[in-house]
Amino acid sequence: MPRKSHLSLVVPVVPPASAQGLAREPLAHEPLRELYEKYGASVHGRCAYLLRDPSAAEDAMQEVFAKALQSYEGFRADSSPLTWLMKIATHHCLNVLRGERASWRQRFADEERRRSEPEPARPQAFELRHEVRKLLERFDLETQAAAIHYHVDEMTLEEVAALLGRSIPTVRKRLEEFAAVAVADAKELA
Amino acid sequence: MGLQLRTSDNVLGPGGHLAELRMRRLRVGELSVADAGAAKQHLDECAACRLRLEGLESEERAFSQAIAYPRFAGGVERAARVPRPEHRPGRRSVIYAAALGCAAAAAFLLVFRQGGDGGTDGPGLYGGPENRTKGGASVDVSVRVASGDGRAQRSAAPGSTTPLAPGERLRIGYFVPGTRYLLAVTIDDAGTMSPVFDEGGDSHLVAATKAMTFLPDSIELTGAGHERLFLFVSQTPFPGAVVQAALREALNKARGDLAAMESPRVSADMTGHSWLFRKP
Repeated sequence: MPRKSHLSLVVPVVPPASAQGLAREPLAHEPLRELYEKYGASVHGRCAYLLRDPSAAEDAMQEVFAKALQSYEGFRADSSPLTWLMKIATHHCLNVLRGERASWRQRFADEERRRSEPEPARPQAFELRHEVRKLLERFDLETQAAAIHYHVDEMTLEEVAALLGRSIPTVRKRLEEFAAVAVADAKELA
Repeated sequence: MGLQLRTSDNVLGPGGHLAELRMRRLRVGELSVADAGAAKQHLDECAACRLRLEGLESEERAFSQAIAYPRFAGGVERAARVPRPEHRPGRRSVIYAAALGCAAAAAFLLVFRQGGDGGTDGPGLYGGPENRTKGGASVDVSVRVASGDGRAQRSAAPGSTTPLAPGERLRIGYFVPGTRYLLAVTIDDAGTMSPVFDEGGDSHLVAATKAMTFLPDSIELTGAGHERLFLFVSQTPFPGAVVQAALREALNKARGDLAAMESPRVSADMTGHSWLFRKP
């Protein structure tokens, strides 16, 4: 039986003084507006890509920005707040997907059914993202995140490893496993 | 997707174009002066990348039209007001080990019943009188803890926190007089739920047992903090989403405190059992 892991790629978040305290304090709107204007579309795009449901994507995006506000100083200090947010959004959405009612087998069956339906012509980038998303459910959470950051965000191997806090060989192995399945799938379809 | 992985030697994306994230970072002013200059120079020379950049700009316009700032701010504020458990730094995981390939896992097969040395779950905490399912038939459950180095095993007590040493694994046992549906899920003090059995998150049918029988995989909880393992048993199938929603509600009610969290009772014929662990 293969060794399976479900790694939750939790990023340090400065906790609120207390949940009650948070409920009483108004949000700082200037940072929030800045977050909206600079990062809203990117984060929403990531959530929509993974969740494929407008309502769920909006909810997820709100959760991501709520987390960002809770650790605003640390977030601002990051060398790339956008990368930080995309990691949080990816992690959050993958967990949402994992918690969904349908098992991956059911969703895979759904995907198989969709695949049999005619697809309109799409740009190449869309096709790649579609293929990546279709394969995600066959992998553990860490591989899913690595594949998204590598294939969708087009980060380098080193960047993905740094983002996930894993070694380069580990991430390489994950991505090679992902690619091997993708190649096998493509051959099967050919 | 090929097997040739990009490294920092070729920081442009596939095909020698600007990587997607790099382009987004350029849009929000996150690139260094040198990187931004190089990116802009590439954009001047590459029609394909200019087209993609226009696509990002179009995405931003569509976003601001679909979700205006007041709606965004209201939604984020609502999300932030939901009591959230303390979120601790670190990485956590649930790792399943091959049952037959691991000596420690094989040793788990020593029969242990929760009623034997751990006591049954009390009705106040777990919502079921003495772990008996509808019809009066007894259902026993247990969680065994063992390290991989052959040290003595122990049982996890349902009413207290069980500290785990590095590398220790858990195995879930059950004794059911008839076919039952089982669902096991963990929740950590960051509020992350991880389906354990079945992996897809829904209840799974098991046959009647004559002795304590263990689920096929052992589990390792890694990362820091606490994690609570829930096992639900029912005579009828039940969707994992319902259980997870009930768990989420229970966690919120306990204000994110796993120790104070009560096991929800989702249906009349369901019993819930839980164990709290402190991870190394």
